[in-house]
Amino acid sequence: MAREITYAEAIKEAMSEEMRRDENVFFIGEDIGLYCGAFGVSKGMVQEFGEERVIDAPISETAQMGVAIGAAITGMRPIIELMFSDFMAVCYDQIINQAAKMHYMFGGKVNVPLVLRLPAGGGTGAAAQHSQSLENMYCHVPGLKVVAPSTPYDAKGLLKTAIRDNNPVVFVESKLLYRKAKGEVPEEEYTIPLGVADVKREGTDLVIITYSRCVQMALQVAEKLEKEGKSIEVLDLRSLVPLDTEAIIKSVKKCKKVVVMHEAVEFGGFGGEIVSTITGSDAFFYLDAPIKRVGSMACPMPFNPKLENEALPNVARLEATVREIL
Amino acid sequence: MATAIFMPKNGMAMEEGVLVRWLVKEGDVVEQDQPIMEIETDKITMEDIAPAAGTILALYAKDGDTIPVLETMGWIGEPGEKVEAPNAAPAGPTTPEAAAESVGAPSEVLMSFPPEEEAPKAAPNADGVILATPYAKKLAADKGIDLANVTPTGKHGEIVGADVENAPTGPKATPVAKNIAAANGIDLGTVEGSGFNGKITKADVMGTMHQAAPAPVVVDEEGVEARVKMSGMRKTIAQRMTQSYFENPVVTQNVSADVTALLALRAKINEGKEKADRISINDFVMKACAIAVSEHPLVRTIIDGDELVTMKATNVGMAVGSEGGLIVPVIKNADMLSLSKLSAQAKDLATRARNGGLKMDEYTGSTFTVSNMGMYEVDSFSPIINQPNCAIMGVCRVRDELALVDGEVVVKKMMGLSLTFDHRILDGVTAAQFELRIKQLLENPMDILL
Repeated sequence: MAREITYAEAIKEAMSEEMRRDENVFFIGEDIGLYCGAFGVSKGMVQEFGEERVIDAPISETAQMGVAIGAAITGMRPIIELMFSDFMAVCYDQIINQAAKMHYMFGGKVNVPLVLRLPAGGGTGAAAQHSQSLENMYCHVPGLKVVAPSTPYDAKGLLKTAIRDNNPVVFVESKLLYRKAKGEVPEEEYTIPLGVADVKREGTDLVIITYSRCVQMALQVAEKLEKEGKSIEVLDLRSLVPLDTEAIIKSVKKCKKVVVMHEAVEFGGFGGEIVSTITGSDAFFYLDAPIKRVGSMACPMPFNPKLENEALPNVARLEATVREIL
Repeated sequence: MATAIFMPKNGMAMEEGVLVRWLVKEGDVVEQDQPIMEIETDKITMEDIAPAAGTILALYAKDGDTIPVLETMGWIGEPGEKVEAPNAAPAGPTTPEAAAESVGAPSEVLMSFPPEEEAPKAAPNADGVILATPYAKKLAADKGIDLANVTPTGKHGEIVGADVENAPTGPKATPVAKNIAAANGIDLGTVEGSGFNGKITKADVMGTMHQAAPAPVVVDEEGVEARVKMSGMRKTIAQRMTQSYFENPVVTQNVSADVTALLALRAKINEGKEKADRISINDFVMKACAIAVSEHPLVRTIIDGDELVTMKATNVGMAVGSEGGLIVPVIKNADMLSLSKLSAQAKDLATRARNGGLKMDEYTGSTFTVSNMGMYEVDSFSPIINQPNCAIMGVCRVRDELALVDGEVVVKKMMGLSLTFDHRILDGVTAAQFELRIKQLLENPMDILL
């Protein structure tokens, strides 16, 4: 039986189900207890699981990561919520040099089965230090898996898989999707494997390859252009590491024109990796137009809402870009 | 945007053409360059090609209609697209005016050069590279298509996949070569290309037209050695000859002219001249005919409905045979030219007629025609009138005849003349008077020079 729930509810369900299923799973973060987290994701969790397993941490990302990594290597399965993904910079060393490397450095004798949940992205008027999409920085570090779901269904299924994974998984959530994204989610147990992209909409004339919040924008543009007889495919990567290169190549070969989109800053963004995946494969020979990218402008996120909207990728810019090569 | 189909202007003098028949109907989907209609100019019948790919949206003209050049006869475009009413000026890049400009320039026209309104082909950019998407390149490689033959539609002038998909397959050939081949019914597969990478050039196609008969097709048919499609030129000749033969009640009158004095005079004139500057017997005959035609208005007369129309100019055509067929270049106002000028023009036109370098203006507009078979030892023949002319002079060989002059046996050089005339316009007596005038001029060659 499927019912409609929000993205935030789907994430809470995934955490709760896994905590019920496995007593080694625990949850740590700032204000995640009685306050339910900055975005209300963990509503009711502390009441169900108690303060031992839903731990309100002091304002120290370094401490939270340190606790989580230490617990993980001793057999626990911690979930860390950094209030804003931007704060990962504070605990960068723990993520990059410890969590990502330990399994390798100790010759496979140690696993670091933790999930780092990151409320990311802009559009909330939270200004330059609370609006970034920094997933590309994790993608660059071998040893980390990076997931970025766009729907409640995907968020729940992927988060459950991430919690069960024996490696550190960076789980990028879109702040704007928490309440806005609603969708059917089965009540029955299900998981979604990492590294499998999902065609959110079939098309033949052009494929928009994207993930997270931008999937919704891509679908809007596809729907609009359908009225003009254009068939736009929307490929939701869902997980960036591992990356479903086969799905990318398949879609490109079919559609022959590509727009790559993400909310992260376009320059140096993960989109470049997607483009490179295409041009380095035999999909290159199927390209019938230059590949275009849509992302945030290369500037600190403005606080002014109008400027913020301009700096972020939006539907109008995506549509214009699609039309450029369609 | 829809593309207009219009009556092509195939030469400066062409003002209208006849739509013989449509080869397509409304609603048909056509490829660019696909033959869509058969049209007839005053000289030839030819197929004309679709200026664009698409659906035939409208065909205004009807089979048999005479249509002024550049007038819109129909439209090609997307199904459902709105097109302008008949006679409205077409819009878009393929305007008749633009096309007219391209054909108005003195292009070399032998028989039928369709207007070069074909979309511009891919041109290398400043770096010498033909812009094409990877997919277009892959498709072109798979299909064996030369990107240089593909019309780009990309926003930056690049060839995209669809352009290659829409590109005509077949031998590599320049657009002009393709047009000439299509208009004259030549299969490019039979033409050997001499251009870059074996590309077929205009010269290659022209060479095929003029030197070689179409390659015979070996057929499995009892008693048949070969079955060959008629070339466009052969078709034109066949049609025009048949038309002339069956439409005109003709009479051929044979006379002989004593050209002993003419040959002597010619020898004198040619003394010390370079071969290229020498006056031929045919030049004398042409000039004599021109003088006689100018003096006999009825010979310059044609039938138009129930009216007789007398033309002002004495334009004398001369039949030139080549292996490709027959063509009649015309010496305009031949009666007013000196013998040497006429001779020079005749040489130039004959040479270019044989190698296919005539402009359309140069083989149309004759009022009288001379067909010289003298060099082939023909004693007498009945030439077929080159319509819409009223008469044609067949020139036969010069024979030695014995004659008695003052009781002495002398040798005379006798030239046979076979005049075929349209008995609707000329009666026997008038024709005889005209022919006698020519005989008189040839026998008194100084009169030709005066």
